[in-house]
Amino acid sequence: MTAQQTVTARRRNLRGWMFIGPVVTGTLLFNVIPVLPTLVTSFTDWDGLAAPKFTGVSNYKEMFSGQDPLFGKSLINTAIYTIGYVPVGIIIGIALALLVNNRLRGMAVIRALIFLPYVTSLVAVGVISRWVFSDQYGVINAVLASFGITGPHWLGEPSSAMAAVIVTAIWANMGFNMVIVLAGLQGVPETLIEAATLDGAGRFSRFFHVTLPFLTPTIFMLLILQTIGSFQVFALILVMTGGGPGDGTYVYIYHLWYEAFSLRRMGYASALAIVLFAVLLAVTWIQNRLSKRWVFYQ
Amino acid sequence: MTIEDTREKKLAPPRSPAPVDDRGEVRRRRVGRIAGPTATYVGCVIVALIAIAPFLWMLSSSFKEPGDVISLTPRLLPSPFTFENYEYLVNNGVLPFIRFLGNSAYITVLVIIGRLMVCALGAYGFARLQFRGRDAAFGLLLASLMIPDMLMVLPLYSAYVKAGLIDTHFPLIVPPIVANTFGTFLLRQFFMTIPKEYDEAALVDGASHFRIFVSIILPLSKPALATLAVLTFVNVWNDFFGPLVYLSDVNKFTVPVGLAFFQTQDSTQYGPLMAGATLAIIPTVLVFVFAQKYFTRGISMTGIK
Amino acid sequence: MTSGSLFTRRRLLQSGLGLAAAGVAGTSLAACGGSSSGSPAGWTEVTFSSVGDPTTQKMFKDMIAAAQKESLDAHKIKIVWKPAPGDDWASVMLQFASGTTADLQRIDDDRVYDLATSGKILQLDKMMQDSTNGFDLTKYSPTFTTKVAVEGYQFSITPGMSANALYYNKKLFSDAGLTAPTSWADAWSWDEFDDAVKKLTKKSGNKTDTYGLQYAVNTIQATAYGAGDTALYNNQTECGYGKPETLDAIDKQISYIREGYAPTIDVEYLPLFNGGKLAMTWQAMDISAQISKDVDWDVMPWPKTPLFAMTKNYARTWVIPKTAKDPQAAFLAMKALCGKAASEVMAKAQFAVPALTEVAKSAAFTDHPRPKTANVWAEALGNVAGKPVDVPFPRGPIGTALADSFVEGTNANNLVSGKLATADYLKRGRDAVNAEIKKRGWNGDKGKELLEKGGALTDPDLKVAAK
Repeated sequence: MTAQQTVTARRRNLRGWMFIGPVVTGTLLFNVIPVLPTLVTSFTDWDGLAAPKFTGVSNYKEMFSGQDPLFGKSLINTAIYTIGYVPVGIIIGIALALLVNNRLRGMAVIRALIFLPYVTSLVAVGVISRWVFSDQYGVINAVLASFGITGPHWLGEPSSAMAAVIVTAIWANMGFNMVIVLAGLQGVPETLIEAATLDGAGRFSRFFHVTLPFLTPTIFMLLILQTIGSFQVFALILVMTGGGPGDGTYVYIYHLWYEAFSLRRMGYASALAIVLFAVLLAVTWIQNRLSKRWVFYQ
Repeated sequence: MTIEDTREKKLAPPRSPAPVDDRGEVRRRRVGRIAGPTATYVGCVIVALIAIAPFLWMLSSSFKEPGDVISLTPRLLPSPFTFENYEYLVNNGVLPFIRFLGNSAYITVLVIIGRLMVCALGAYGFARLQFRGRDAAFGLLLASLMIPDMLMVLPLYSAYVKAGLIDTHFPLIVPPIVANTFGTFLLRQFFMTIPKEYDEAALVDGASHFRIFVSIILPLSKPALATLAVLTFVNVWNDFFGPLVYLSDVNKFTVPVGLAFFQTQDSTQYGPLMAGATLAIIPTVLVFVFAQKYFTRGISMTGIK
Repeated sequence: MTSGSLFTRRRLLQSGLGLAAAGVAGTSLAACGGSSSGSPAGWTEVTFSSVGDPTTQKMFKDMIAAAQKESLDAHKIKIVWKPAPGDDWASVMLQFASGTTADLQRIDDDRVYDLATSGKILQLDKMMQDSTNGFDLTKYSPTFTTKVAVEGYQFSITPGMSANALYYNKKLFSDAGLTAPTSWADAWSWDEFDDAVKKLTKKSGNKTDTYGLQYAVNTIQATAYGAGDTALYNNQTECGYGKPETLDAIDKQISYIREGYAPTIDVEYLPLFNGGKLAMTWQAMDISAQISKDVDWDVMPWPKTPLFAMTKNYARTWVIPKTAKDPQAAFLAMKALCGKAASEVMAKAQFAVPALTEVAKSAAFTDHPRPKTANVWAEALGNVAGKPVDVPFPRGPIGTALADSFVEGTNANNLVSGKLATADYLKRGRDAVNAEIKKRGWNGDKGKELLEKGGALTDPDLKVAAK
């Protein structure tokens, strides 16, 4: 390597870091360094008040030796929620974005209305969803009954309660997914769509061969972020089911929250957080590896 | 100035459209043109109705008397109709709700402006430049999302105590500006769909990367920037945990903390809570409506070439 | 780099810095408008903080005003009030961990034990026994001290307690030809109660139209206690609730859910009660405001169990953190807030039953349009037939394990969702508690050891709690 090249490389690195420096420094300071104590406390018995007591790997042992059946149960529930919510949520987001991506009259209002659930108070969402899914007085069972079907006791059975939570989550976040996909759609060059139309491509063909490839970076981002977010679902569960019935919707962060703040086992909760971190890191890494096969960048 | 970016590939050609029967397609398109808007409207109205139901309940509850809010079969129209919830909200002798609105507004505006700048800068670096440590840094940003906030708050809180920043708005303004993975990721993905030819042409003309960022990438990214602005607004305006934990002076509280007063472990005052939630949603909707003229492209990207 | 981009960059930076400066200015402006009250020289300020809804906060404001006038102004002590939202233990815990709590702090009663053993709050026994500035405990109900004592030592007091009782729909009662008892001494027997629940419930097919009863899972402790059982056996070395009577009593109570006389826990009680579809619901005092005007209601006691009448009340309790700037002043402020003037404010708001007995019995508490029988609430703090109405429940690490295993966690949720047999529920709960006892090597003396180790006991010989 010549001296000239070294200097160029150094300048190139410096310039790159000038751009990403602020966000990386900020993230380090406020989102990464504060995590480090969690790693330490995960090896302790600590109530958050008195001095932590070092207990080696006993928190991790408790998790993986089956002493805490709720660890496995909540992880499985969380995985079910994620698999049920993320793909459908994204597909609905794409469908809605395509629906409203035009300049027809009144579209501004329609977009705002679809966005509303995302900003509606979660308390209202909780109250309404419990009413919608009520077995005796609920809208859904009333509709089913008009077709002669006896609807389930939605929030009274573990599996249907999880389904109700997933449906509510999809509904509550559809506006979020829609606006992000809508932004992604604006990156699709109109010349290509016009060219494809002139070539005689139909709607679906245009979507799958022109629009979708340009959307893949957006979809990839949604997939990564929604997966990370879904593994940390909490507030919706809190207002809708409180983790019940039984342990039917008892998700991972609910368990972590309960251990940390109800039982005051901050050490154990920290260990739960570290394991979650490892799981998410693995999942994200796999998603990133697989993305090279389907995500299309310029 | 040298062109250093070695990552360039030629703009990948769009996968070739499937051949279709020409005549049949023309006919279908003509039908589509007539049926299109109608079908779109029907779809929109159905989705909008599903979307709006809880909001309507919230709005109607805010005009109901306390005992009428929670009922077996919610009535849409309040009877009796009352303004007492709104009156109580702004004049309860305890909480300066109007002040909360002001606090929320100024925090939100500052975060939006700051975040757009920091995230756009970072996103340009991640999307357009090649340098050492770039991918590792991006990995770090993603990894920082993987630990639940509720545990991070303990060390952060004691750090803020030591720095004398507890009971100030600092923890609600600065970290959301300088440490936001979502915005960086969103803009990075969008920047990556902008054809590289634009940069290349500008670089050949001797423009710096900062110049390309400001005068080519940013103007082309209005839809993404508007989206980030709106989502940041929602995110900061509705942030509850941060203000709850870091503030203890009632005059510094934000709207979500103010609303949390109406909900305790034992009971919820639905009337004033829904009145407050309704007031709180108005600015969000206004910002959305204002920003959305940028959501769909005005001057199309092709116009610049 | 071209000058153009430099300029743009500088402008960007400038506008950014300008805004940041505006932000700082805004922050400091807000600080000026803050709660520092500017008391006259020579006065001592005591900060007081509690969670609560605006109605509650307004009441605290009025209580403070009453206490100022009654005694604090004379002592030149000024209470600075700091309202806190919701029920957020996380914030309060952070404040305790970092020493930023108020000088006088109102918290959940189940937090006292941990705060005491980790040396975060002051032992109050000595100050309480002081002949001039202490308390005359004969004027207060026993729960004032015993409810929140830690191993018999006093780290906090409860000036008022939100009593639990059965809210009932008067119309549904008269339709069924029932008359509710009006005091704990006359509480229904379990058989009478059972009869009433079944009379009040209206079913069509396998659906219930009107439920006779709704209760929360925490009544289970009370049911076990009423069946003559205790939470712990053998000097706290073994989990209790092992008697066959306990199994029978809980199973009976749960059968109401299984057989459709009571709703499962996912069903909200308030719409049912407001809609006249629920006859009795077991609730704390503060739901009164949310009951629909169309419902004519009152309160009545929980039935007598095989042994005695009982209830399960919870409390918010008042502590003085060790970081208090002037503990003596904080104590005097606390005392004044337990005094007659402040207690009357609390009584009039029907927020909680004041521990000051004369006020709890006075018209300030009982003379309200609803409920007519406010004495059912008031009596819940005392004794009936020589037995406390309020159920004792262990606190501390084993108390936490008990609550987790029998009341709050998924085990209890499974039971009241009808997903778990009562015998399995009791077995799982007992196994979990016994495992915790074994892990900690717990026994009846461990609690005091914890207090001593945490440096909590400044005066180990002093105890004020009634035996």
